Order: sequence, then structure tokens, then C-alpha cells
Amino acid sequence: MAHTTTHHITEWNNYHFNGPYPTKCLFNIDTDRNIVSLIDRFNDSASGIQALIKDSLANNERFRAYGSAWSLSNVAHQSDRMLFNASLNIRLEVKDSQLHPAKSYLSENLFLFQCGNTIKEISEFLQKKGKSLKTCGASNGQTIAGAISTGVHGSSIDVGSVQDCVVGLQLIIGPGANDLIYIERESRPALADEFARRIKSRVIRSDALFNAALVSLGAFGVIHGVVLEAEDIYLLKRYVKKISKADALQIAATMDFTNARFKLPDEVLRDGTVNRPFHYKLYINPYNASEDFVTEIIYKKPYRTNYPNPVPFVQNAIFKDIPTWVSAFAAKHKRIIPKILDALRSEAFPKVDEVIEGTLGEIFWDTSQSSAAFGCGFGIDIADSPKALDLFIDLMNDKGPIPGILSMRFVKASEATLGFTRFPTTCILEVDGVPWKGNQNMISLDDFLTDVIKTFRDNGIGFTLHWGKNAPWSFPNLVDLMYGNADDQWKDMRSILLSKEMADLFSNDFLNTVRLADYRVNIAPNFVALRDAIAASVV
Amino acid sequence: MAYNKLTYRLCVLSLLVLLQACSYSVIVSNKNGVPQPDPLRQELGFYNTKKVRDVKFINHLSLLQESARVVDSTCTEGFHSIEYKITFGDMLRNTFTFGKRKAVRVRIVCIKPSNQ
Repeated sequence: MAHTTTHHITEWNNYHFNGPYPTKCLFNIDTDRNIVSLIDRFNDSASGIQALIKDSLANNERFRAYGSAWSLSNVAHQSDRMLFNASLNIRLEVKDSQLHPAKSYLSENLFLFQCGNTIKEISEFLQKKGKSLKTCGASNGQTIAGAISTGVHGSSIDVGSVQDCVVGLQLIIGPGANDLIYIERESRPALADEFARRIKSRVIRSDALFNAALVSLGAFGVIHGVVLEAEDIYLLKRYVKKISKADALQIAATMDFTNARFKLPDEVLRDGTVNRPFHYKLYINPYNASEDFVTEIIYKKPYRTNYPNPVPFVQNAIFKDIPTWVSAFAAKHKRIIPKILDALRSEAFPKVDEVIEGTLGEIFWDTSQSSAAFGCGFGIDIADSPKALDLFIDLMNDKGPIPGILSMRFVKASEATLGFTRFPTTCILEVDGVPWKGNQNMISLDDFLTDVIKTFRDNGIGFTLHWGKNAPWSFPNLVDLMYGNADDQWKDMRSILLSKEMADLFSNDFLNTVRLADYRVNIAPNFVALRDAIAASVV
Repeated sequence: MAYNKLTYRLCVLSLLVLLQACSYSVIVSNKNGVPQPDPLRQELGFYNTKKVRDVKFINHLSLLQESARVVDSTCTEGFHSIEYKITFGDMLRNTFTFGKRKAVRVRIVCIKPSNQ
């Protein structure tokens, strides 16, 4: 049986120290490595989690699984019982015989990962198979279940976010024998029913349910298994250049590299056409608007083995308390913030004119953390990105300064119902920095971000917010403002899948704050047939 | 009087800074592999959420012995990182015992066990 250690704690914090949050109990679960068959070991882990859910139900306690605690918002937190699942890292290849008859995938590209596999583990595993993830975030420490639940993204302009590479999910929705489900899209089935039976799961094929469960915020039960589609391994060639603001934003607003004023000579072909980048990111110092933008442009290249190691041999780290001290000082003397940011630019921005090459896992390698951190990501349509950036910079100068730098990344739309990358190409306008305490001299982060939301709203800029980052989540009707009716469909799907009792068990403060914890007895008429089909399904 | 007190404090402070500068550590880490996690270890910096094992002892060498080897059996899938630290006191001990008393201060992080 899977090993579970129980820790009675009083508080819990996330990886970036945005808490602490009061918490009663932490379970640490590990697989039973005495079980030889990986499928049996996988199923045994699911049974272990179900036992914890059963006990939580019996004790009227809520329950939430988490992995690397990477989210800066409190989306991963549960004040009653938390399950640390990072040790659940089984990986399984999919055989041809396990594919669905109507599949559109190659078996060699499909893999089942248990929830606790981190992005780095997955990248290393896939590399040994000659494969690679299609995209990842800017760092590699998130577990796969956590990454997809909150919509982790990179800046892959034609790929999407991590959840967009998922083709199947195994969820644990309760303690019973019928409470393991495997869901995938009806329009793009991947695995045969027999495979689902091997992992003791009911099969549900529904685009609406699958898309809702992709970015689930932990509310659709415990994500235990994730079937990912990988692709053949490739290299990424990363350039860092300084580009004028006008040229950088011309690309940002259109993602049209063919007709852009800025061109990288090395990526212009003999016939004058240009290669389309894999990734485009702008780093912006908000307190020096006239400065050229440091721009990271990455191109996909065929894999070869003889490339220089892109990970520096020696990595120096700043004193771990310095950012915290600087932030505390800056909160009292805010006028020096622009000067401090200027002094720290070598720590915050990549080195200009550097060119490196490596696999996805090497280019987005381990990140270091020397202080508590805040981060906020606004998703906006790329057409609005220049205007949104100007408004953001104006606010940072008028209401601030605040100790943060800006960046812009660009991601293809997600099919996830509550994927915050919901525009055809979403620009993620981010501010990252060191947290501070608001005072009479300096606006608080929450108040500042509230002003940003109001400004975007008043200027007709549609936006979303990264679920795993800081934001004034209690802003009135925030989710409706961002998603229109999509959140209604998400709630319907959750209410179809879970009983009221289980929906409550998997809720938390975050869901209550954003008003996504509501349980719907009366669902939309077009989903009644799906509800009945789910209720009737058996393993 | 106040001047003497200030001078004394500055001297102590300088000494502390000097001693701090005399001790140093180096972390050798593996490019590959994921560190074994520890959800209860929350501290700023490299070791945040990593499972850490500290090895600290004074090794005694006999007259005929030259060096020592620390054999770790806890990392079943290899080391993720090893930090070796030397303090000013350790250097003094080594010097004044002609290398026969060596302080060992090692911090080990294992690679997270896989499920293969």
C-alpha cells in the first residue's frame, strides 16, 4: 500500500512565501515500490489517495492535493487537509494496442504521467526516449498536475500552454470503486477503453467536460494521471537582443514576423523570408520608457548532439535576504525604486547579445530563488497589448513606483474553459518583483493591481488573470468580467462530475473568493444528457 | 567613554565580518535530476523545499593516515547537490593539528527517487 506520513501542522506556505496560511494537516504520500508492476503501483497510489479522501469525509474535513506549491496565489491551499503528492512520479509509455480505434495520435508520442512528476522530470524522461514536451513555463519545478490546473504557460506563440498538450486525465472524484474516472475529448479520443480499465477508471469522452477539467483549479477532484502528447526532440536557439520599443511592439501586436521591421539576420532565409520564432518575450523597465526593450527570441531547430552545454558551469547567487531588505527599504523610500531596479537589471534581465542553444528542458532549466516573490500575469489580446502596456507603465509611475519589472509573453489560445490564455493569441503582461507591505507612503500590491483592473475595464481592454499568481481575487464579479459565461459552463461541468458532498470537499478559500465553488443542482439543459451518461457509466 | 564603547563595538563587528569571510562553502550540483522534496523545509534560497541531510563531524586521522572518504548510502539514485563548508575554526584546527583533525561539514541533497 502507498506510504502516507501525516504531519499535524499549524500553517503552510507556498514555494514563493506568499503565505503563511493556517493549515491543520499535511499528508505526504509515496508509492509502494515493492509493487513490481507499474500499473499496479499506480493503481495502489490511487487507492491510497481514496483512503485519505474517505477519512477526510468521515471527519468532515476538506481535502486538496498539491505538488510543488509553485502558485503564488492561494489556489493550492486548503486549511483542513493537504496532500503533498510530489513523490507520485510513475511514468508509463503507451503501446499501439492501447490506442483508441479512432485515435489521431501516435502511440510513440503519448505518455501517462502520475501527478507528482515535475516538468524537469518529464523533460528528462522524454529526452531519453528522443522526445520532448511541446512547451513549458519559464521554470521547470512545477508538477504536471499543478501546472495544468492553473494554466502554466511559456511564450510558445504557436503551441499554447502546458495543459494544451494534455490528451487525457485520470481524476479521483471520491472514495468509492466507481470514483476513478478517465476523461478525454470525444472529438479527439486517444486511449482505448481497455487502457482505462487497467487503471480502474470509468471512461468519459466529452469535449465540454475535458476542457473544463483541464484548468480545474483543483476543484474537479485529485488529478492522479495525465496523458501527455510529446513530440520528437528538438533544439531551441535563443537570442537576446535590444529592440526599439516601436519595433518590439509592432511584433507584439500582430505576431507578424514576416513583415516586421526588426529582423534577425541569422534567421533570414536566402529568399528573404524569415523563420518564425517558437518564443518571443519582452523585458521592460517600467521606469525608463525610452529604453530599448531587452527581447528574447527563440527558434526551433532540428536536434543534434554536438551543441555546447547552455547551462553555465558556475552560477553565482546574490545574498538571499538582500531583495527582502531592499524591498523593505524601498517601501519607506519609494523614489529610489527605479534606481534600485536599474542596479539589479543584470539579475533580472537576460544578458544581451548572448546566443545559446539547447533542448527545451535546458533552455528553461532550474530557476533560483533568493527571496519571497510576487508575480501577476494579465492575459490580453495581442491587438490590445501596446495600449495595455502604456496604461500599465503609466500606473506604475503614477501610483508607484513599485518594486517590479514588466515582461510580455505570447501564447496561442487554450481550449480549456477557464484557461486564462483565451484570446486567439494571448499577450501575458506580467509584473514580477519582491513583495512589500503597503503603507501611507506606498500603495499596496493589491490596491495597485485593483487599479490596473479598473483601468483596463474602463479602457475597454478585455483581460484575464493567471490563476497561479497574485491578484486582487476578491474584486467584485472578477471571473464574470474576465470570462463572460464560460465560468457557468465550468461550474455546470463540475456539478455534473462531482456530488455536492465531494464538490465541497475539494473546495477551498480561493474558489470561494472567486465564486467558483458554487454547486449547481440545475444545470444547463444541453448538459443533462451528459450528466445522465456520466451517472450511468461504470468501470 | 562613549567613544571607547563605539570603537570596541566596531572592532567586534570587524572581527565578525572577517571571521565570516574566512569561512566559505561551495555547492556542487547535478545538472540532471530533480532534488528529493521535503514539503516541511521552507527556507529562502537553494534548499527551499529540498530534503537535506547534514553531515557534521570531526574526523581523526592517525599518523599514518593521509585522507578520509565519507561514504553516503542514503541517495539511492545519486546526488543532486553537495555543499562542502569550511569555517575559520576548521582551518585553524586543521593547521594546528598538522592535518590530523579535519572538520567535515557536508550538506547533501539526493535525487528524487524515480518509479521505474
